[in-house]
Amino acid sequence: MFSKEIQNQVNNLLSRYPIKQNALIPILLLAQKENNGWITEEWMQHVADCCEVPLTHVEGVVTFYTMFRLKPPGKYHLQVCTCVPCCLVGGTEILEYTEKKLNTHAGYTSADGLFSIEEMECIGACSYAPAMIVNEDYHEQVTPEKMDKLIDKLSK
Amino acid sequence: MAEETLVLFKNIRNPKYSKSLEGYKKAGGYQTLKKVFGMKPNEVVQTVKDSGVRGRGGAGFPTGLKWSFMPNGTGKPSYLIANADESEPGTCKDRELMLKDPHLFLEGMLIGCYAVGCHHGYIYIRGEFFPAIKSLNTAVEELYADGLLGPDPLGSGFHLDLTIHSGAGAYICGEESALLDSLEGKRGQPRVKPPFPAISGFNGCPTSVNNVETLACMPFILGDGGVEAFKSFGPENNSGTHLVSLSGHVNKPGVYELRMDVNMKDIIYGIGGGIRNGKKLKGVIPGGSSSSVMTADEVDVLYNFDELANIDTMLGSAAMMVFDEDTDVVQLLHRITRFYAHESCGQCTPCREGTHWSRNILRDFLNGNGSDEKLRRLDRVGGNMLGTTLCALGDAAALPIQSFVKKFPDDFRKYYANK
Repeated sequence: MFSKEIQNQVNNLLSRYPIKQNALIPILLLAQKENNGWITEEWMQHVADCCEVPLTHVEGVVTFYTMFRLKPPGKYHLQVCTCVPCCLVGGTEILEYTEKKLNTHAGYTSADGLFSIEEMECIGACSYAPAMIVNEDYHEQVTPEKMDKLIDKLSK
Repeated sequence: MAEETLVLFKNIRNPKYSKSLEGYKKAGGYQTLKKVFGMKPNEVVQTVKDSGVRGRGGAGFPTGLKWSFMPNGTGKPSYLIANADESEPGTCKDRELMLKDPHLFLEGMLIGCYAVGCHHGYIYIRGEFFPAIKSLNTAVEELYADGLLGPDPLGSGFHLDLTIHSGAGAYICGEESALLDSLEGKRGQPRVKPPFPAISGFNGCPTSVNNVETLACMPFILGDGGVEAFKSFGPENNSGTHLVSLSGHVNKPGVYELRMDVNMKDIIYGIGGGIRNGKKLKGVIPGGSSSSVMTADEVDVLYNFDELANIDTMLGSAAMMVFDEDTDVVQLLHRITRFYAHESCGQCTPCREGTHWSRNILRDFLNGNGSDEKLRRLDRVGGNMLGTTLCALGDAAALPIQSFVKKFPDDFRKYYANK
């Protein structure tokens, strides 16, 4: 199920731990990337086979960690932090602004499938708050104006 | 006025510095590792003990002592795991090191591996830190290409591998035993202790788990700087510089490297540039969201482990969150309790239930349904989490609740006074 390039990464990961199960979380992250940002039962079974663990174990792991998603995200996944330092300097307002602008809510995807929003607990950019992650990139000291610019750019 | 003291940030604050292996070597990098390979591992551990360095991840446990617990001759491999799961609200210092000077941390990691006899170290980094993961991956590739990792680093014959392991979003995995379960490919749930990781850690083998910043101190302690210089940066029992993540309502938030004998007032009003918009200070959460809150009257104190412990709060991960007079502390505490309700792993009943109950009670306040009885109940729910759980998350949820209620009672009463 993995592409050849990713299969090489999986094999490399498996070789770096004493027990195959140890590589489960990094391999699940690769599987999620392969499947456009979410995990299906079919993928869980495939990863279970790679790591030689039961499917139920993989399900337990997938549902424990917030980065694993069981439904497809938008093309751009906006992860807006509203945790303590961000909420002190307007993170909550940024989230509300984004929800209004995209006419959707945290946990959902915009009608055109382009943007999904997630409300985050601390993302570790506290001294540069309010902050967010878009797919794999950090955006710091976010303002409504910066958000407008970003969304306009990504919508094109 | 307080200024930065540059040990860990010496390279980062140099605008001409390049974080590549070549750049780091040019700045004197990996010379300490060379020196360490000429020492016996127990001499390295003793030097670290002598330096008095305490873990920078939050608990402040003496690192040399932790390493000295690693047993010899068990017939099992020993492991050193770097805890790069920086998730404590307010804390963003390890990210800074990994992004901007990855080799400083890696040299410390390699020194640590040698000290505890670990031939394959793992860096457990939180999954959301994509840019830091990339930065570390590049640096580790450079080390393999250079031979500093592999069968014979610097001709020492000490075979050493390093693997970067990405987490997947769970605050609890910063707790060392939950981290180990997560690293093993399980749900990250804290273990019953004892046995401690030094006896039974990663896959049941002797393991030491150390914070990124702690490891980054090693090149200085064992190298050019030395034990005495390191100790001179702070009062007895609080040695070294530390990285302070300053956030909230200050004019100049940022990550600063400070001695351990700097007054909190100087940090807020000097380095931090004072409270923004000319407002007055209302309070400070001094050591990550898990620490007890301080009022404006309490901040005339040295910012270190012992001074803060003396006034019933803690330095934690040195994450200062400053808030001004306009802050609604009920809303603030509600946000903090929401965090713990989201992050409780669900294993121990007092924490699994208590974090949600306290959040719900605070939501009642915000919805206009507060009361004296509910305020007492909130305090009681906090008390029932203290010391009743396997790991410190229960305490971490309880301490802010109890301290906010104790120090800002009028703010809570305002919510229901007119009823």
